[in-house]
This record gives sequence, C-alpha cells and structure tokens, in this order.
Amino acid sequence: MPTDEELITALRSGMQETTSDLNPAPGLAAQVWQQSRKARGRRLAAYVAVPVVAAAATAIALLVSGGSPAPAPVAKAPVVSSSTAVVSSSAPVTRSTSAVTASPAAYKFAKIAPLRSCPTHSAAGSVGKSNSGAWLVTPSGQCFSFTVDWGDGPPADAKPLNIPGYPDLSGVTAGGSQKFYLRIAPGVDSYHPKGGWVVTTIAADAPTADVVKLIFVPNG
Amino acid sequence: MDEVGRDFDDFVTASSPSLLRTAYLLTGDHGHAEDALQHALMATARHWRTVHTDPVAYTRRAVVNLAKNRWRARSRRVVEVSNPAEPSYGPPDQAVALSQALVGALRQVPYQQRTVLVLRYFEDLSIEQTAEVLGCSAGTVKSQSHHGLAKLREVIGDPADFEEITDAH
Repeated sequence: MPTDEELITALRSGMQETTSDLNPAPGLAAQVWQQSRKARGRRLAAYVAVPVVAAAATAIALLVSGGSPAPAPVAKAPVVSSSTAVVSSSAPVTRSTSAVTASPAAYKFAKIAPLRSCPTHSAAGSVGKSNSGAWLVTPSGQCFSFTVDWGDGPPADAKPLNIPGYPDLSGVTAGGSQKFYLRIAPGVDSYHPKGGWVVTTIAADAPTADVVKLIFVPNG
Repeated sequence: MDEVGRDFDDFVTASSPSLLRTAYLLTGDHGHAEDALQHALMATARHWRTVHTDPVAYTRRAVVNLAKNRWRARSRRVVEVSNPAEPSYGPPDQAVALSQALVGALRQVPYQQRTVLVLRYFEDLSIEQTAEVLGCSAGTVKSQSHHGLAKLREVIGDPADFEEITDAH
C-alpha cells in the first residue's frame, strides 16, 4: 500500500492533470462586473423608490382619512396597508423592489454546442456532459446530443407526452428536433430556487420515452 | 470599465482558472463548476469594496459553499447525470488513467474530506488557511485529511496498479 506521501503526490499530479485544460470563459470578469453593477443599480433604485412610495402612501392615507396625523395609532395601520396597495398598483416600483432579492436570477444555462458523436467509452443507457456538449446513448445504442435550458413554459401547440410515471409533460416536434417542457418545482435547483421551466431539445427521431427517462427523474 | 472594475478584472484574470479548477474538483462537473465560480464572483463583485484586500480567500470560500450546496442538492436534482470524467477519445495513457481514477475516487470521498484534500493538496493551502476557509478548527482539518486519504487509498488502491493497467495498452 502507498504511504501518505506517495498517495498525496499521486493525488496532486492527478488533480493537476485532470484540470489543466480547464479555463474560464473569456470576458468572464467584464460580464460579472457589469451584472453586479446592474444589480447594484436596481438595488439603489429600490432604496430610493420605497421611501418615495411610503411618503406618497402616507399622504394619500391622510387625504382619505381627511384628518391630521394626530391620531397616530389609528393612522399607522391604514398607512401600511395603503402603501401595499400603492406599491402593487405601481408596476415599475414593484419590479424594482422585487429585483433586490433576485439579482442572480438573470443567469441561465449556457447554450451547449452539440457533440458530433458520443464518447467512445459510453455505454448503452448512459448520459453525460463534457466541455463541448451533452449526449446520451439510448438503451438500444443510438447516440444523440441534446441541450437542456431554462425557458418559458410550453407553447400553445405543445402536445401532452403520455409517458407512464411522468405526468404533465408536453412537447413540440418541428424542424427536425423535438422539445420537451418540464416544470421544475421550487427548491429543487439551488440556482433557480423559485423553480421554472426546463426545455430539452433533441433530434426528432430520438425515442421520446427513453430520452425523458434517461435525463429526468420525477421529483418526489 | 473604471479603475475599480479594472482591479476586479485583474483579480479574475489571475485567480479564476485556479478557482474554476477547484470548483471542478469539488463538484466533479464542468458546468456546475462554472456556475459556482460565476456566482461566487458575483458575490465578490457585490462586496468588492470590503473584500478587495483579499478577494481570493472570499471567493474561494464562496466557491466551496456553493459547491457544497450543489453537492447536497444532487440527490434532489432533476437533471444531474454526468460523466465522471471528460470523455477520452484516444487510447488511455497512465496520466489519463490516473486522472480519471482520481476524479472518480474523489467523488466517493465525503464532501468535507474531499474539500480538505482539494484545498490542501491542489490549492496548497496550509492547515490553518484550510481551517479558515471551512470555518473549522485545525484539528478538524487534520482529521478530515487523514480520513480523506484513507478513503482515497481504499478507493483507488495502489497507484502501481495504474502503471500495470496502462502498460498493458
């Protein structure tokens, strides 16, 4: 058995070898910096907007009550509820406020360029992802590349996919490719905690049920 | 980009390759590693005014925490089937065999122990620095390192086996 030092040496070289060709995307710094500045701008807008709205709500509440602010305990409660109403009726202000807590949510999956073929060692019924794309091999041995992306819900012409054990799936086939739409429950994905829709795109001739079962598992 | 932005750009240029590789070793997935790095850098950029004296340590801690969250979420995720290593298209040599074996073996080491191994032997952090990143004591780092190596030894066996295996090709 190797000593600790031998093992550490092997581990060091292995980790170096494994990661030597990994590099961040060009322009990452500029992209992140701009995103953070935009998010900061939204936060500042919200900080400015909220006091303005609160002041306006107070004024409205006083006008509605027709009195002076003298009965403070009575006036305070309506002011709070009035401010809620004013915020909800003022769409731009509401968006600015919600942007404060959702600044990283502007991210989405990068577009994955399909592989020309599956890796040579891939077995039937396997799925994988590499630097250049995602792929799967069906149980019958067919290789397909595919993409998974966050997007909107299914379009109006999406048809239900009747796959046992996978309720509420729908899809569209057009232009030589098929798209599956699956709703991701809140809390499942740490980067999209509110959930959303995942769109999977794969060649039209891929066996739909096999593909869905290879890529997804029902939540709960 | 203003001067502050250029400082951030210099920091990202210098440190992001290493941080990305660390994230990859922790998550075992290139896409997740990039996600973790981007989110960590976003956090660093947001707090740049207060963390710019040692942004690497701050970002590294964020990467480790994000990778941990990702690892914890793996069992609940919907899309989470990935290759244990990047595909190999040519005949394997010893380095490739060792690399792939280590990536696979690291994935079987419990997350905390794996993090210690990566920080200590890939990032070359001291025991104290590792303890600071993980928010634990130096004794815990030593213990986790010991157990991690034992687990790794159990999984990969004798490195000489790789030479025999690859010599056969």
